[in-house]
Amino acid sequence: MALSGGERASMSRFERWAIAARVLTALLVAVLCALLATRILETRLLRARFDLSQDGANTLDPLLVGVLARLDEEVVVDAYFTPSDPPFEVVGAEVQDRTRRLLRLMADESGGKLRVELHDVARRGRPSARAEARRGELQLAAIEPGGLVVLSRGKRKELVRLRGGLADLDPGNPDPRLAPWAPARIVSFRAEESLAAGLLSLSDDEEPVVALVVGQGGLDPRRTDDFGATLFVRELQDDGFRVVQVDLERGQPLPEEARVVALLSNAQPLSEAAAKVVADFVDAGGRLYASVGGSIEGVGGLASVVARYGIGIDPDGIVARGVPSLGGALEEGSPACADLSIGLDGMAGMNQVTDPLRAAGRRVYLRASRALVRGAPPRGASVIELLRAPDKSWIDRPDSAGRHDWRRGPGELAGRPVVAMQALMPALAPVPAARRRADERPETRVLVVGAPDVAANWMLPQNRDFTLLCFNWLAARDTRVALKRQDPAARRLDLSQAESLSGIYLVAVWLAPLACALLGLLVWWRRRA
Amino acid sequence: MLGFLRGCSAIWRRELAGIFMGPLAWTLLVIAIALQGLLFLVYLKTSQGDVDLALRFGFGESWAFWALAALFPPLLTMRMISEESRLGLLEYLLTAPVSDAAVVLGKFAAATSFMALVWSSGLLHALLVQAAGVAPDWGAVWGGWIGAVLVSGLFCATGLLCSALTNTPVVAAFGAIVLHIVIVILPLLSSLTEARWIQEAIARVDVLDHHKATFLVGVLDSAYLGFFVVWTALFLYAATRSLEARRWR
Repeated sequence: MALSGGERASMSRFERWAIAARVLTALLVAVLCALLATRILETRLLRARFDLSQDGANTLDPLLVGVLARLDEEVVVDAYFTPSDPPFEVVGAEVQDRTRRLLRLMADESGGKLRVELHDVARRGRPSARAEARRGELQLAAIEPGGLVVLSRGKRKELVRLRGGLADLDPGNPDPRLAPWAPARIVSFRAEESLAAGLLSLSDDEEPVVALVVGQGGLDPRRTDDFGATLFVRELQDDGFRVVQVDLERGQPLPEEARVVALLSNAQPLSEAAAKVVADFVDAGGRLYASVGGSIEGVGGLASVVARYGIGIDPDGIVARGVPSLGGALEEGSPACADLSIGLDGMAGMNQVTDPLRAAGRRVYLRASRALVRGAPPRGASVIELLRAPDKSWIDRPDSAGRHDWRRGPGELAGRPVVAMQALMPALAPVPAARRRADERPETRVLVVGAPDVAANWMLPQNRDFTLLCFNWLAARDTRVALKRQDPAARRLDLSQAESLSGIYLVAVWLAPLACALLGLLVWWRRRA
Repeated sequence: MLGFLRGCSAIWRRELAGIFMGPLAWTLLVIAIALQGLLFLVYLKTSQGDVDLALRFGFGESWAFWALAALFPPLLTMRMISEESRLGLLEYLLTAPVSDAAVVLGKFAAATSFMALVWSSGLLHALLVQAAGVAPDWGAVWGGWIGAVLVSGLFCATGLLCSALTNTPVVAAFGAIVLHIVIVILPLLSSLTEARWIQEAIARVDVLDHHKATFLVGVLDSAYLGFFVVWTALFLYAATRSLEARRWR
């Protein structure tokens, strides 16, 4: 029934406004209904999600899902992303993009317990007021190139840097004069793992103290070169530990709140007094981490320090293994025989240190490692062989001049020597009140690694997870996870091959549009005919 | 219901034939395919050969995608109702034994089908890189294509609404393009304000984010699917009401 011209003309101004108001109300109600419907569809009960991607890149690891489910209060994630410095501009942006997507997934999964704030600091020098305010609250002095992610819960915070935290990056070779040009690339994207560890650290209120013994010529935490331990200190701090340097020879006492004492490849033995301080600490429920250095034998040598806990050190042999040749055979006679790569079969099973490594398919790399042997442990102690050298290894003995030939001689023990050991026992002496924890049995934990460089700057990137897992076990913290990393290297077209690009160019830019145009002309011609 | 679907199907076939009989659709198709092909090569080079990233650019990570998505649907839908109304053809349609909803839905389906064909050039690119020896992540490719079709569906629905509101196709296209530009640049406004409630309100209707966060990376999420379906349905409902109102004028 249409309105006639007369009826329309007779409509008063009020009636017109009333109709307009009704239309607007109907529109408003419809929009509200749409908003409500989308809100309802977001509820967990009605929501279904399917990840179509080949490598499950959009599915969170069950471990991280568990961590998110256990969050008891809101955690804020502040992501500050800035352009990366050369040559990481492209890969840095890719890591940021993947991290943004991961944070989105985590926020969706957390059911509101994880609040993500992406701060726009891309235009250097002109960050938003909100970004600046949060930066002040989080007490961040500066945002490094590439940016960082800060997890915070109340006053506690954890920092995850782009390089080394969110991803391992390889600079490639930007200078073609020296070697073939190679672009920077992502070696592994490890943001999921780092963020999970950060969340776990946040929920752990304690900050265990690691007393790093210095002054014996071991790895120096102030040296930034290959044989320093600056990375070791930084990684421990990033993982929620507090690292304190102690020079026992100068009479400095171990801090009362120290949880772990670390002896990093000492070149000289401890003095008798210093060795007693360490032994007293460990006996009274303290924890000891030691990597074997040059001071093995004698009073104050590492062998005497760890022998009382059932761990012995072979003083003059180095664990070696043949180097795989191009043909696959193992060749001897090279110093490279002292390099060991330990995989799944060399790691202890059902173990807090090695299980995450096994689950994630990681390896441990050791060089010039001493063999460890089971000694006479105290009563009630359990000594566990943590890492074994690969099959067909041997202990290479030096000749009278102290030189190794890296060949398996008749008298050299062959097999799979142990290169890392841990010992666990009830405390041998009363635990001081400062170190006593209500939720924990008083027990002594000792972990010895045979390789001197395992925590050195040049080796730590390969052994970061192993080292952190060792310290977390020593500190009785369950805050370290190792998740399967995503390595997005495979699906890349080699642009240096001209044929592949020219083929795509020909079809995508010329043939396909031309075919369309011809089809269109054909339709037009047939219609005309 | 069966009658409704039959009516829908008849209108869809009629509109699709109408689209492909005219030169506009073919011109748009040739331009889109050539432009996307060229841009795909540019994306491949800038991403240092990362095929997944380059394909993602073509399905929604780049501004070129959003420009095409905002521009093409209004050009297709501008004539669908307003032109027919101006030429008096709509009267025949409205007196035919099909409901107004079936008319709108059939026209919408035809325009969206054409856009699905436009975005299929991304599938062709994926096939080409596979032929070149690098298999792309097909899950993400299909996810991106589905998302692109859903975005186009939403924009076709707004285009139809604009077409139903006016008798002049150019005005309909202009209105729809302006509306689409607003929809696309809405998230940028979010970064200009510090007010959290405005940011949250914008996030709830942010079309770009709803496409990029899920479909583009190979995720089918019922909540995000629902977002597009609900808002498309809302605009189609409004278009149907507007068409219905023509009977009263």
